[in-house]
Amino acid sequence: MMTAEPVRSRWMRLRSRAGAGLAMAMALLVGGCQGGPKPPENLQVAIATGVGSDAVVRSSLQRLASQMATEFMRNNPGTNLHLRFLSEGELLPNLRDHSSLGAGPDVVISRVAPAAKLSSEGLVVPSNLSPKELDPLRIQFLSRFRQGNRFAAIPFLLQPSLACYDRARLPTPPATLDALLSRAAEGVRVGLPLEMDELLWSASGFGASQPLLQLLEVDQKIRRPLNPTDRAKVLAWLGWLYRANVQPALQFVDSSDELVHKLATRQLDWISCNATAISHLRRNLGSRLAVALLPSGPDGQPAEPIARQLLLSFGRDSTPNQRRVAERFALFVLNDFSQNNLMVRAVGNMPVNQNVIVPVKESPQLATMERSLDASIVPSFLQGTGLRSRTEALRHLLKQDVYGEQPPDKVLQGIEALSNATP
Amino acid sequence: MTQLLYVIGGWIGLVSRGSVVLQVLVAVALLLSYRVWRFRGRGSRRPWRAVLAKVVLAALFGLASLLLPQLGMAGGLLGLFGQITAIWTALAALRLLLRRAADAEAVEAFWQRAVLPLFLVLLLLGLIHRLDGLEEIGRVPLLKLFDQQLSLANLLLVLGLPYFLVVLSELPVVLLGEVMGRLMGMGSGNRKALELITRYVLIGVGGIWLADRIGLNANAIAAIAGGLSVGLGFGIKEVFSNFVSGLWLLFEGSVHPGDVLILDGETCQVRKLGLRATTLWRDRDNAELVVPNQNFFTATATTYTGSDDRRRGQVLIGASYQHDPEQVIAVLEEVARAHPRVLTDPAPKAFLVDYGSSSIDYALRFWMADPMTNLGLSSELRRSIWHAFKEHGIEIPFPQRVVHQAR
Repeated sequence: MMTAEPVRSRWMRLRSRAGAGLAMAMALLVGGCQGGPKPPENLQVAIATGVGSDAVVRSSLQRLASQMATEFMRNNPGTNLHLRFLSEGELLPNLRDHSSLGAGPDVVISRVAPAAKLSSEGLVVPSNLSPKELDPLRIQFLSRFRQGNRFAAIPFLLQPSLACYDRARLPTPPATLDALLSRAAEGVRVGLPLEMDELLWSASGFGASQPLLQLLEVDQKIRRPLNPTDRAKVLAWLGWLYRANVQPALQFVDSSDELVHKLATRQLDWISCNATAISHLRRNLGSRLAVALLPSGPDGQPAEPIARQLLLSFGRDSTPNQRRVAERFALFVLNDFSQNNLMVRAVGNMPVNQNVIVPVKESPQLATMERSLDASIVPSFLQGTGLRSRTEALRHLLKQDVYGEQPPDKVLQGIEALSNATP
Repeated sequence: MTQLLYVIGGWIGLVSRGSVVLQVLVAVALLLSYRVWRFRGRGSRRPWRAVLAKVVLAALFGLASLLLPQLGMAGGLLGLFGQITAIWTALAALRLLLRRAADAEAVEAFWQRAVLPLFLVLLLLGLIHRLDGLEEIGRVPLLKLFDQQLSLANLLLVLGLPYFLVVLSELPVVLLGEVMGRLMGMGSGNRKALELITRYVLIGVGGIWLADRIGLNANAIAAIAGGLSVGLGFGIKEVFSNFVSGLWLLFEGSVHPGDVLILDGETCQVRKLGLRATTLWRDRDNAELVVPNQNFFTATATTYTGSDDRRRGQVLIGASYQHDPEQVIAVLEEVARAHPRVLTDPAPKAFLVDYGSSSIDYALRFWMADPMTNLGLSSELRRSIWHAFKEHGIEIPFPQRVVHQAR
């Protein structure tokens, strides 16, 4: 019969061999097999693909990132890009964990709020790219991310907000908020999101968006309480939201993703949407899909939606060579060719490179996006993060307003109280 | 496969970083120090001292993981090594405790077959998860199987799950058998049968889950069944026959683990009823016999434990013609009754079986509770008979022959 001793000695022998093999593998790995051909440079790219269930944005961004990576590798043989897609909620814990091991990503692509958090925690470091390298690219909004002589992050793409609608049900889009309610009263099914950053465009029609943004700023230096005029504007907007929900054909839903789904499945006729949803909607609605500027205010004030902005940040754990490749990658995706390519192939994305000419005459869709961007609020690190960090609390307050659970002045008091609380 | 190599290539980019290399070097230095200490034999003779050394090693990993960030470097990998060492130390301590509490050989076998491989697999998966994310790499498609794309995760399941199902199901079913045995008052044979059936059910359910997980459709299963039917017809007919026989034996209950059988004239105890064969233990020389299950269907099996566990033994003895058979029979029965392992009911009985050429031949028949003890008990009774005969002046004659010479 088998005894324990021979088993143990066999195990010891096996373990010694495994240990020797592991040591040899590590030596080869660390030594980098210097005698042979140069090994490929491997780059980790973490991409935060929207918030939680934002499946539409996620799939669009994944496709876009894969296109970029393929093109970069084709132009840079010997470089391998490894893309890791995460939700915005996962990004921060994931990077904290990987960076604690020394294995953080080399490049991070995310929206402004998570990029600001990563920067404040030191999980990403400012770019080494010099103005000499960046200036020719004429990158929009770059100066907003300056930290001393360097840039904490580099703008990569802009994703404007629009009105998306089914032209078969609605030949002409409503130009004002009042017209939107009139159409809803006529039976046009309208959908609006209960997310403050996605709904703020409607506040701009009442001149309430800037006061609200300043009220909800995280940074004490920028935060400004509402004066009586601003209060009146915000109350007018909250009143409009309540009146809007009285219309049976107008509905508020929890997320933009749900709105897109409902328009795609023809449960709604008009929604406010981000331009990244266009390709998904086009697949479902075909030529029936149309896009327009978001409706202006009662007095003709243009809608000022918050445009989404994707940023490039650089990881802190890269080797000097990895950092060089990461910056080369950044310059690649920011150059005229790539930005133009991304604009044309990844529908819904607008270039930050101002050398790229947007073909507004050839494409009404791009023209609308360009016009929307002109009026948009594009947040910097210090702006706009207050909205994102208080999404749930603001959604709750907005729900209380639209469902009439609280009168607008009480809801406004809630928003003011929220602005004083640490997010 | 290309995609898998590509993903693994990405790890090289991570582990070639200065901070990671430094942590690995610190870890290797600590491990080497520990190995040198073990190699000098300081830990091998005193296992608890080796456990203590592992605790120190884990603590050193933890300390290094705290120190490096103070110097502005990443130390999480060392912390991870520390956690792994701590878990391994806890397992090593548990192993020593189990070796004391239970059969050391059984503990060692379970350790080598189940705990160690499982620990290594979980360790590898844990490292990959921390480094890259298991979901991503698990989704990497590797090959096509019955028109289904088999991902890396599914391939690992196909390779690893059957092994762990077989090995890890052993202990829980034994515990279940113990509990059920106590609750329902089962005998050891029935308990073992229950354990075995439960184990087969677990393995079967695991197999079905695995087939479903990897997306085997009805066509694929039909293809497998077709292949098996051909295989059954040629190569694995015997294996299948033995497997079915094993199941049949379990359900019929004619042979249980724990039963005592006569095989080729030798008393053997059934140790294990396996998928293909039954393992018997032969008391005489402590041998284990692996008997194909179908033998129990094609040959007569003699068992002492079919309806009860009692066995009847017999000792033959001759006494001289000069002694009264009544006295001899009384002495023989008295000897048997006096032995503590001879059952009183049925009572032992002696018989005059023959008038031999040299002696009157008697048979002492007695019953015992444990059928495996026949040889030892018979030997003890023969010794007692010798002493009792000497005490009563009863002669055990040598073979003798009276020769008459014709005049």
